Amino acid sequence: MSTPVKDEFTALEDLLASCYGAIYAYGVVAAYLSDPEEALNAMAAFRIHRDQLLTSFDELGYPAPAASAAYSITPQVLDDPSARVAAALLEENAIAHWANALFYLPAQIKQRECEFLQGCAIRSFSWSGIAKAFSSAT
Amino acid sequence: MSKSVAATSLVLNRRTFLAGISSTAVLVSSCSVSSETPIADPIAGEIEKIVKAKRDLISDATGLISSDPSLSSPLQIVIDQNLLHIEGLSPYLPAGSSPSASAIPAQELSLAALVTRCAVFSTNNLNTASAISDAELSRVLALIAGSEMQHHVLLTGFVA
Repeated sequence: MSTPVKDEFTALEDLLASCYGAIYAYGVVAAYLSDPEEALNAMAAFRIHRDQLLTSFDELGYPAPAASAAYSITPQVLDDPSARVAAALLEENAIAHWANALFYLPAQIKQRECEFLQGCAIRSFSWSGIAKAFSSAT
Repeated sequence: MSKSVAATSLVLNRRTFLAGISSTAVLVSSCSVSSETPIADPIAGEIEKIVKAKRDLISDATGLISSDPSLSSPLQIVIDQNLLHIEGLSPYLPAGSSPSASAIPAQELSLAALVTRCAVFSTNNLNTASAISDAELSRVLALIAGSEMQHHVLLTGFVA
């Protein structure tokens, strides 16, 4: 999730990597939550978005990077509260990545990506109950 | 025959020369007009509108706190973060500009209306972030839009 974004390809690459990381992290988060439904719904949203991004890679003729076998999750998920914190942070991280990439994305997918960023903002708030003036990537 | 060709060629050259002179004069006069007429920066103008809308929202949120102090906790978060947004946008404002809130409230003063405005701000700012030609400003506006969406959700929880 640390690709330097400088053009259309690296912007798409960064977003796809963010989706891969979020899908993995939500799998861990869901395992530790007493009620995993919200995490599983969020994971589904990232999976749908990953597939949309993969389609964009195809349409634009770019090679899509593959997912890694594992991703590090910060903070460490040990129980229900830490799982919620991790979920909030991964969504906040996603806001920062989408905000950074938006400028470089092809015009035809900007609207879709804007809506996804808003979804991340809503999920981040629903996990933490905290609104932030500027989200930052970890 | 060859004299005629030479004469025609000379006439054309003179015409070209004269046309060249006159277009240069037009260019020079255009340059002189544009250097004297200030051209509004469209990006700065857009940011000015966003800041003004935020000041209106802050003013309305402050009014709502006065009429219903039980809303002060969530509204103060929205006010404080909108002030931070304005601070983040200030480098992009035209020199000497300090957009202030409208003297007359243009919006309905209710929490529900404020909730809607937060979501509208978020969508509008993402549209601007998508269209703007400055990468850093686009990033700042998109982050602000994320925050505004969170304000929308935060305040929605307090609408009766």
